[in-house]
Amino acid sequence: MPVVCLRIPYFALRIALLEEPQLDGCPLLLSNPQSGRAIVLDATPEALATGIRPGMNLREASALCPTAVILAADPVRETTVGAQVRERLEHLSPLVEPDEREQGCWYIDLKGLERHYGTSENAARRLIECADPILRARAGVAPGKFTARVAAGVARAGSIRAIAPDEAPGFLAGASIGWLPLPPDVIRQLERLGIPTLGAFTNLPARKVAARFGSTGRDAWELARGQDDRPVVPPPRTQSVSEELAMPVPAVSREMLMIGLRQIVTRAFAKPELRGKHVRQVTLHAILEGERRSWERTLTLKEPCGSRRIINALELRLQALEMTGPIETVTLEFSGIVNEVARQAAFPLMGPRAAAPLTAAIHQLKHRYGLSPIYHVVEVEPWSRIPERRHALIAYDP
Amino acid sequence: MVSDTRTQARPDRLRPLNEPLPIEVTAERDRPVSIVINCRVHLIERIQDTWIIEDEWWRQPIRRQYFALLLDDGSRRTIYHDHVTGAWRLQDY
Repeated sequence: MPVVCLRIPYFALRIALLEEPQLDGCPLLLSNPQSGRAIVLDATPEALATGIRPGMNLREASALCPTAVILAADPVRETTVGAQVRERLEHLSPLVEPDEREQGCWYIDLKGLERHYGTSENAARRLIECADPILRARAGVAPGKFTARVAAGVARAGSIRAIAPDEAPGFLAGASIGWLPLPPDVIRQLERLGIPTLGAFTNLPARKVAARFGSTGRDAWELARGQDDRPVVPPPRTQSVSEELAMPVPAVSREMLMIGLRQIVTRAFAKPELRGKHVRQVTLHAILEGERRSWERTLTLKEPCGSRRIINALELRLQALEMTGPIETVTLEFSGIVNEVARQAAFPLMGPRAAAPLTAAIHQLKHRYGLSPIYHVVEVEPWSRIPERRHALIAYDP
Repeated sequence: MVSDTRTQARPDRLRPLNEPLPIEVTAERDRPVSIVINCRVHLIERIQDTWIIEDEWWRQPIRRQYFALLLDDGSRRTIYHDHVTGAWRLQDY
């Protein structure tokens, strides 16, 4: 069975329609209206048809299309909807891999599921049903991940585009060069060189592509020829614990937010899942009051920490936080959960500032006991096969 | 003020680490079956590994057979059988 790519184009914009389906068909713009320089980050085909392009100034875009609905990014909602779709897909196939480069794009390996679904089209239809119809998901079925993604890219909403193995090179030859997983500046460079399609790209000799664009270019050249044997690798499962707090009064200052966060951390570490545990990563999701807006911050700790050190780390991290609006709900997600770890602290007297008192103490002990009772470990024969010969203690006598 | 004991300080004195400790072992056909630690008999659940060290035959010969053991309480210990003296010793490897 081949690989299916399920794709929801304009994912950040389409998820807004889940709450306001009446906006379906309206020109939608994704922007960052709170920032100093508001630009169009993404636009639906209805908006693109009016001449609006991503990167355009928001004022200019509004002039081109006065009826355009401007939406702010809602990363919390994007993550939630993405996780819901992925969970439904995993009920149909255990091998589901989200695309790293594009949100709202998943690869599903249908290996071993022939008896369940009969044909790959049937399977793809079931996969499309995993996403709400208003999200306008579409699927591409092909022998490899790259071809499946391009196929999903040209499929219409709710439809399936299946590419047989012998059709793949011919199908890819006509596709835009923009599908290649290369940085945008490399794509622009290729277009300027007069290489608008994958077919034109594969006509170049492989060694010249490798010489000009390195190993990444060589890999892209192989993908463009339909040579793609990358397996679908589901991301590793991580255990996480979430704790949410609806602020009694929307938090408008960092201090108010920290009071809430302290409460959440304390509450989370009182749960059985986190009792006696340390965590490596904390993700803060903040939902803003009124409008559909949110932000996220991920805090990766140098080493697993308990509740007290997490609060300190959050305080430090949020010192430079610019509050973009009153926060209504805060959620902390703790991941990388490990057993409580202890660290061997340095002997308090061994610090450089304590050298003088340590020396005095050792001299006093020598007078009292005749020898320094403080030792340090030295390597004697670390390569020895006889364990007692490897290390020894030597009197510490500064 | 602490009085001087007049004992000579020996800062260069080395004290070996991880010296083998005597241990009581019940063995069958040269393989340990149970050991006594802190006056408690522990049955050996499994011998996880065994290896032989033979060294220094030119002066004081060393011939030891080590056993990495999994005990009935889940703990792991390493012991060896000294083939020169016939004694059993406990020693982390």
